Amino acid sequence: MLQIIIRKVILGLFYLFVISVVAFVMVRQMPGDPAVLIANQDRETEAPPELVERIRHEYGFDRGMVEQYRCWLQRVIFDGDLGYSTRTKRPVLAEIQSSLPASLRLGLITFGLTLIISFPLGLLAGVTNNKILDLWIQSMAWINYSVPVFLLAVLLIWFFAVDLRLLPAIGHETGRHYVLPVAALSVHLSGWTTQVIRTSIREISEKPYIQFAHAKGLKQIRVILIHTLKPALFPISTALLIQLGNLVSGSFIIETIFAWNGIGRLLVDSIMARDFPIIQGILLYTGGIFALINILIDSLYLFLDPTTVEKMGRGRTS
Amino acid sequence: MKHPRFQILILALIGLLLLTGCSTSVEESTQAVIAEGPVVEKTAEEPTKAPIDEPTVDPAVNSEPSYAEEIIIGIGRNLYYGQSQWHMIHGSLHVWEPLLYPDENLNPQPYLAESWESNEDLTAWTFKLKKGISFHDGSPLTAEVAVNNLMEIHENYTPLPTLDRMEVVDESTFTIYLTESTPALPDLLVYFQSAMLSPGTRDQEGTDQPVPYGTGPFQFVEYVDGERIVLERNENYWGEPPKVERIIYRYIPDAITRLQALQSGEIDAIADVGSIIPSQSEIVESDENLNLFTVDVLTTHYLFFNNDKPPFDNQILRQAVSLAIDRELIVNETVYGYGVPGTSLITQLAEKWVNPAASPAYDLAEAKALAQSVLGDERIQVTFVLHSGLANRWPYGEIAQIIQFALVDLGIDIEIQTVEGGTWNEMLANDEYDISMRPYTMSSGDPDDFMTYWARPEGIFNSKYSISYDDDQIEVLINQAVSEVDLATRKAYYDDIQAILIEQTPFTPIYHEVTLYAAKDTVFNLTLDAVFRPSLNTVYKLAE
Amino acid sequence: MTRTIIGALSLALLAVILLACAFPGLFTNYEPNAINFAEKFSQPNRIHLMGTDELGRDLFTRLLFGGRVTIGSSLVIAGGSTLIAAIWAAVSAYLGGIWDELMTRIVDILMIIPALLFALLLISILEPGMRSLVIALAIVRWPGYARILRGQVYSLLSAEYLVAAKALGAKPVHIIRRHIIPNITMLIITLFGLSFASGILSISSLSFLGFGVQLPHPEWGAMINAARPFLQTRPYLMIFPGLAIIVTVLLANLSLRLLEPS
Repeated sequence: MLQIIIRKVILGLFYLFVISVVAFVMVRQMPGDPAVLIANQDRETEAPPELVERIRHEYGFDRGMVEQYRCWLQRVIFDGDLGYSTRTKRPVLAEIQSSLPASLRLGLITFGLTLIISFPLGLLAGVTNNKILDLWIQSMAWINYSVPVFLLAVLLIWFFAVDLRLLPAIGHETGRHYVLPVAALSVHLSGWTTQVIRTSIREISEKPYIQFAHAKGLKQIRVILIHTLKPALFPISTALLIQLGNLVSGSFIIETIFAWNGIGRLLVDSIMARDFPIIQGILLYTGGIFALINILIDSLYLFLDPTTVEKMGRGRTS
Repeated sequence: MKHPRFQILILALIGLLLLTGCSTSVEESTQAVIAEGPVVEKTAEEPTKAPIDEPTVDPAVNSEPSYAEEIIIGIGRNLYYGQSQWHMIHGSLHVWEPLLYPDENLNPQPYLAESWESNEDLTAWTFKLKKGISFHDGSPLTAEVAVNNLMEIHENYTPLPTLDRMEVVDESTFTIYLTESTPALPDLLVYFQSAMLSPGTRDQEGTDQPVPYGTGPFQFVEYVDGERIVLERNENYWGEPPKVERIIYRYIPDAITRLQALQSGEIDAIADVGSIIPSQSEIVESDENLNLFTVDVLTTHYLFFNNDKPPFDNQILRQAVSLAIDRELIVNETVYGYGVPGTSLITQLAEKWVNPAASPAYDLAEAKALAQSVLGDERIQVTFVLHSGLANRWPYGEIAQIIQFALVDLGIDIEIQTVEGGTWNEMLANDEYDISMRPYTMSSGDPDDFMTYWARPEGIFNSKYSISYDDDQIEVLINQAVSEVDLATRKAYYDDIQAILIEQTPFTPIYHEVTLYAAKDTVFNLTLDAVFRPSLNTVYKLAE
Repeated sequence: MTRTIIGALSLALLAVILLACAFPGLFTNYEPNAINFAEKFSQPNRIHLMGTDELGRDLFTRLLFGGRVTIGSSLVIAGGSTLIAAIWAAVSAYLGGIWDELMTRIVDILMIIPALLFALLLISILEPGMRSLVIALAIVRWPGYARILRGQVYSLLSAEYLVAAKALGAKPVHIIRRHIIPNITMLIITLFGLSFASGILSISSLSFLGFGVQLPHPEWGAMINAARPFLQTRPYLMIFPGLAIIVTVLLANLSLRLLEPS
């Protein structure tokens, strides 16, 4: 079992490595000469060629891509140094650290709330024999899913902040600041999640062995909890993990509308400004979190149900 | 994973990458760039001048009012620049102060300077500083410090075209020597051009958050990345001390969110150029808790052409486009009357320099005829590139669409491309555009300022944006005008220049800005002047 | 029974919307980009069903032409991503062994990168505009579908009759075409529907933020963004494009009910 976990960790590190390569290659495919951009960004006049050349050399843009990548990786691994932002001149780590906590909090709260709403509803819709109830829950879920996050955010601010003056429209200083952004995100996400949970549960509960268990007269609640829920958790968690990954990498839309200086906006601003070190740093961070969550969940599974070992070896299917 | 081979291969690969040495070091790479280079605002306008339209402010009505300690002002651009710009923080924040500052009529007035005089032929100007003024870090403002600041601005920011040298005379006196008569020297030294920062401000290389040490009523406390700038009252201020203890500038990039934050009470005021978009005026007016103010500022919005790339290397076609633009309609429909149609090349506030005869007209029939004479029955496709940041602060999108719609009848099909700032700069520099727009603020109030940016062959915008306007006659006139001592003759030169530029149409004014700003009704004495510098030294707010 | 009715009804309504957006000329006489200040900000009335915008353009017309962009590009995204996913899954499952392993890992890695951010990165590499947006979103979407499809194909492949067919020397192309494709067609159609619905949300979100469609062309998300300053004074400017998105996404999802085994 430990061996499997170690293997997972190695695999996670490998994924991170690949992501860093992909990120590196991608950011260097962006149009425009980064040296020219950096040289010009704070100037009113056009930067002289000597300055551009100097910057190109200092940032190492004049070297081969493999060479650049190797130097970057070496510094990341041996010095823990992600470099400096070309836009703000501050260390990448400091930039990420200052914008991360709020985004992370928003993501986790939203995720938790979504689970609290969706799990009972999805489970209920999945196991019930009452077709109307199932249909009703599903319809609500679809409607929630269909409302775009940005539209809801705009309307929520208008109603609760401007019209009623109940909640703040911007910022993330106190708990009250989180209410509207979390609401805007959760409505859409809980619609989606309820559907996923319902479908997964239904799929399992229609399997012959569940029908058989029911026929055998096993207690309803036991069948649901042990025999239906447990196997369904697998595809559900896989699907939810992707959402969690998206959430903790910051919701650019929400951060823009609510004037948050979060990780999502940092990344988009950096993409716009061709701020390579930041883009690489953030992708590495989100990849890292993702890999970590993966490993944790997998380990949890192994702990709960050692028979999943074989399935995991195959790579999960949902 | 079923294939251990796979893992070993990967590990070996990573190991190989790490073990081979890294030839040259990149360590110093990042910081070195900062020291380099003249810098102005990242966004698109420069400082300007004097208050014109004083908004009405009621004095506090309470007999015993209690003041709020803190005022939060919302803005749409980041005004703390750190190491990336030499003055580190925008002049609007009253952290640093200039030697000279313009009055309502755009005439330079003493600020940190006490007085100045020149020799007879206007080639040597002697400035006296006010005494006993010190910076926030405790160091005194001396003539030497002033000269160092001015030299730095000259070298890295806006060059003084005729500067010979500067000399310190005594502790509080210095002289500027010029190669030619320069009657407008005081005009060229207002506001940003004479910002005073302590020598200690420069010694912060490598600091994450360098502190700008100025002489102003507010001192810099903290900058929270992309979110807020915190200022605190300078208890040792040389002038009248401000009423409010703390001012927080809250950066809210989205204009709609910004106004909503004001409506919901999280900020107390929105006070900067391009911070309330005109289409929001209705909302502010209908909100009983808010007051809306306006001020004419020195900013003008220009449309400019790529003058050395077909089709707009053709003067007749440029004229046709200018004639097809209904500037009055644009002011009425896109800025809801909060603007002045661009009927003069330079801001209408610089009244003494404006040539009223040089005025772009609106004549659609003439425009069609001109376009027809060049294009015949052919249609051409051109690119109108918009800066997304600017389009968020001013209705450039609507203006572009109106122009696009108007030019269809001329046989010119415009493709509008809205791109992010960095890309915009790059596209313009690389000739990848035909038409674009940007605002420009004639900060000194002197027309030579305009020439330095737009009309000289090596002019800052002219070269940077590949406008590529180059006319021998204009160059001669500009040089004659800048050193002409006689005011009437100088004016005559600028009249000629304006007439030629309107005729040749390398760029054309669309409208002159009227800035909107707003505050809660508990905020008093908040005004903006023509360079949109808010009155932080007098503003106060009643405690809620 | 109820399911089938809801599904059929939704599909019919969706078809009407698609038709209206595909042939806007049949439903309106206005030009989507024709500026007319004389009729600026008309409230919804008989001449302008949904009123007019800040440049006096007919909102209903812009909604139809905007739908063309939003729905059209979502269809392309859905088609592109499911097609890539299907091919990938089929090839991966068929080749098996180390290839399967490798291809699965690639999909896993692609899924680690947050979708919207990955899309933005791609957009900034490609030229700005609607085409890049569509390409980027299709690229971002397919790995998820590929993973689901591969699971399905995998279980199909291990079915005994196929093993037998392979052993008897049936050609690979034959196996894929005759046995695998028909069996997963249902799943592919479902994925296509889901992808279409989420495509509309993604396209409008990114357009709302200013990526994608360029002025003056309408697009639902971009129209909502343009209506923001007028939310308090002329809410209809935002309500109609907002409803258009919600209704279309909802109908697309409900149509899938038709497919679900009851």
